[in-house]
Amino acid sequence: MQAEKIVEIKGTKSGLAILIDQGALFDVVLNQLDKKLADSNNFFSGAEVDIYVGDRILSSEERKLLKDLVERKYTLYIREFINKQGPIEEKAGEIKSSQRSIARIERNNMNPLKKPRTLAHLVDPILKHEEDTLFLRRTIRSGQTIEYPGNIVILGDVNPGSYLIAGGDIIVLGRLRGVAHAGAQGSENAVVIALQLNPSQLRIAQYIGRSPDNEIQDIQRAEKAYVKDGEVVIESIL
Amino acid sequence: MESKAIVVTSGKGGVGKTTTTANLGVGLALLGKKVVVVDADIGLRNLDMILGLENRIVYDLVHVVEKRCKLSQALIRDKNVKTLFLLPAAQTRDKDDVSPEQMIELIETLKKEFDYVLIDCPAGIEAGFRNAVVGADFAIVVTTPEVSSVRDVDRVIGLLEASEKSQPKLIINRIKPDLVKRGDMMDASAILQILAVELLGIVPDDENMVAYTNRGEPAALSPRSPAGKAYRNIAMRLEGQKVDVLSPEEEKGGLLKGLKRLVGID
Repeated sequence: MQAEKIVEIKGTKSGLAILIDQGALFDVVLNQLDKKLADSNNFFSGAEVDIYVGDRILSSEERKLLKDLVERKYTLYIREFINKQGPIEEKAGEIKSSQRSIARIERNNMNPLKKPRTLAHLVDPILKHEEDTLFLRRTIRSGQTIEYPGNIVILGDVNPGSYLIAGGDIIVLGRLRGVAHAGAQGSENAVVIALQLNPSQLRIAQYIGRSPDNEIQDIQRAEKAYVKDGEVVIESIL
Repeated sequence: MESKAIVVTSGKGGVGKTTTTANLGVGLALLGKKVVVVDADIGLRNLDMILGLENRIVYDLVHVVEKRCKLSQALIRDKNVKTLFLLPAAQTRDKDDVSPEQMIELIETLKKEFDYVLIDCPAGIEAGFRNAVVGADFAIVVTTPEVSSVRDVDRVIGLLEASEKSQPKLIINRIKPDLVKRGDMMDASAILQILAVELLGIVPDDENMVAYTNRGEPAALSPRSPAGKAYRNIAMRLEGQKVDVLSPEEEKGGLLKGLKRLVGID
């Protein structure tokens, strides 16, 4: 294998991408990446980057080493580690690997909802970026960030202090109380839907709305947030 | 007046560092000072909640030191006191994302704009503690009247003395006058005997504190809260005003005792 092919740095429409050959030894990858970034003379400093790892499964230690190298040494910001894109079956694998990296406390945090079929019916007409969706079934807790270029669907609660950042729509089948940013790459027609929509802050594209200071809302119905006349508005969807 | 950077620290968790930072911030701002409270507890931020400003955070301290936003973009003006500002911590990062050099630079920049920079230190004595302390001119150490808390504060004072900052000042938090009277709780003099530092104030235990915290309205805003009054008094002492450190029994005694003391019959 030629050295140049082990690590490639490419520009994409959503920012930078680092492509890592899935067959190469991890040490070699790290070494090559270090070299490439050193050669770039900090040209990429401050840029946001996705790391594509192909079929490789990264251990948390390997992730940390990559993160240290890319973020500490060269001050890029890693948005996401991405496994091989492609057929839906493989995408399920991608979700698993991102769950693995965070913690093992997540299992069974959320009871399965009773009638998933009615929920699917509910959100189906609103999905616009249906090509690419990250589905997570767990509680998103304070300090955790879920970032994804497509849509994000959470089956579970999203607690205060956590962040959901999606290029497309965000759908929470549970309580949304953290910060949600839909259409993060500028898509103003993105929506945020939650069974209980009570976020500390809502961002859609470049618009920001925050929850009122005083009232503690306890609205027990599904709601949708979207941008209307340059403002984030919320309405019931049933 | 020269501006001051003060770190609020304790070693032990849960003794009231964040509450103290918020309330001193409010107290000093009520005296007309321009104050910024800095949450240095990166990854476990709370100061924003106690001030009720959580939903306003867009940029945070880590964004600022990484130069991903301007300092002015990250500063959040308090909703109650107009001369009070918050620089929130990042919730999704950790202590190692900021270096001591970056903290020194940040605090120096803030000191140019504010009369007081109050830094809320994380629990512990590791990297987060060092980052919080490094830019400060001196420290306020907070302890509760419990042996474990006093022990940890003693350790912290030792570390601070080794770092050649001027003497830390002490706040004793959550004194319960009834328990002290019965001899079931350490009193201020017993604590001072061990720690041997300047006493800045005693804050009585106030069961309404939980409610103030949950509502995001610091006690110092409430004219009736005994803890709030203690914090306002501490703020005045920081400003160099002579306010007697009242024992909690006196603080609790209220108007009548105050009058008696005035006319000298107590």
